[in-house]
Amino acid sequence: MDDRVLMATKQWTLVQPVVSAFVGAIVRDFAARDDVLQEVAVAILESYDTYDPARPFQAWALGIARNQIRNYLRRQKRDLLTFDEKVIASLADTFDGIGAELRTLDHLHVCVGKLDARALELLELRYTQDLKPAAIAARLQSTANNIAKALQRIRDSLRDCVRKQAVAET
Amino acid sequence: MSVDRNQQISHYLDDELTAAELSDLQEWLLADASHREEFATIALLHNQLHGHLSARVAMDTVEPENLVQVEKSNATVRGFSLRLAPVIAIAGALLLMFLFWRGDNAAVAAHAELEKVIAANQLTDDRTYLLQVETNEIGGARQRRKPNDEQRPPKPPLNGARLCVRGNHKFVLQRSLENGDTFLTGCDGVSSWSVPQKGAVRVSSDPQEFNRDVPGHEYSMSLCQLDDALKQLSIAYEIFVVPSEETDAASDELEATRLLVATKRKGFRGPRRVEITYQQKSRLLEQIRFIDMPYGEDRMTVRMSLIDLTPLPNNFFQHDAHHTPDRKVVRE
Repeated sequence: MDDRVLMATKQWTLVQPVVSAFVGAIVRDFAARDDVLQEVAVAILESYDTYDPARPFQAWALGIARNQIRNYLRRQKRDLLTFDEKVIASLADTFDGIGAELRTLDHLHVCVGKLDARALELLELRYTQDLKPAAIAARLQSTANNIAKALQRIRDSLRDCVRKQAVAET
Repeated sequence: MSVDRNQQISHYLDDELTAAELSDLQEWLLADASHREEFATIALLHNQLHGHLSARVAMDTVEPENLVQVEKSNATVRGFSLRLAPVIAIAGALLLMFLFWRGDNAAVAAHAELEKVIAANQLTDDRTYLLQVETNEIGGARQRRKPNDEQRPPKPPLNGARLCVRGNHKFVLQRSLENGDTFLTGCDGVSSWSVPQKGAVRVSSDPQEFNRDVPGHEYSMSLCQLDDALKQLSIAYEIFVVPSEETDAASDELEATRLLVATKRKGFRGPRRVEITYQQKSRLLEQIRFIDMPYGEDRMTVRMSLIDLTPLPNNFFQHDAHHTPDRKVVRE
């Protein structure tokens, strides 16, 4: 394996969580998000010769992710309800600056461990089975609106929890 | 009527917004950078939850008989299965693709196995390892030839040391000096520190400061940052998985283990060979041997064995958990 591939691999590993979150914020289907991420990884390797090491790698990788998201959205047969290009571009810049927030999520496993059984069930249906609120509601004999609100409350509580954990550590 | 933006973002991520609501959200995002930051932090949590929950469910699927107990620990570690693939596949995507293109299926399998071991290691909370030095030559020939006043003070011995780690950046390394005193170094993720048995406690805002007399820090394979060391293997080493041994009745009650061997590629620094013994089902890392590991001017072979998984107190990785409040603290 040549040095170029090794360096690309190493840098990709470091920025992958942020790029993954950016792609996931636009491409909300988890399987499709993973497909786009793989295309980002391939594109990074193929175009690594054009990368200027004087520039931050993460910003460059987010630019490539933007292109791959655009390609993905073009390929969709149906009209996806998603952000326009201007919003996607400004979000790419924003994700480039959220490293500190990423570090607070080191505490996520602690906070998930504090959730009650009902909250965990909802999260597992949403995140491991990739079910949307309407599908979860059908399973749990509830309404999509109730499930969506419950998911929001769980995320809010987790966000508070990881921030408190981070503050408690400093 | 005011809009609950947290709720709107949450509904967007769940694909529950109407076209009008999406348009409203877009306008809000474009209006201010702080709005986009708010959106990004929620999206980041959403993304991390997917990885975390996938891993959690994967662990819950392992049969009870595969649960393991580690010496002196009541903590059980649940297994790890191929359902963790979504978590680990992304991080290793580039490398695996390269190997696929090269047509090297054995290498692909070995690197995939290493990624699973790394992911399992990241899911494990507090871990305590015993360090044993198999061969050692601290203060090598060239250093011994120097006059006494040019020699650096000897490093605290590693043999018999205990290393406690949490995540990739927090550690406490407890070494015993020849006079029986204990010497502690550690890092709480933000600052690093040393606590000798007597004298001043030293604290540095550089998290790496007190990691420098531990082998491996010069080439991203510090014993105290195991995640980084394992990732470095996937870059700088050829990886092989040794086939499982046949089990007999006597060993049925023991968790089957596998051995992963990494040999250094030319052009990289680091131990000549690394051997990783891990549990076949849970991928729990039981032992690592760093063979011919550069350490200053010399080389050593070090074995790290997992001896405890008991959760440590929250403040364990801070220096003040290890000394009385009246000790002098020097900030560097």
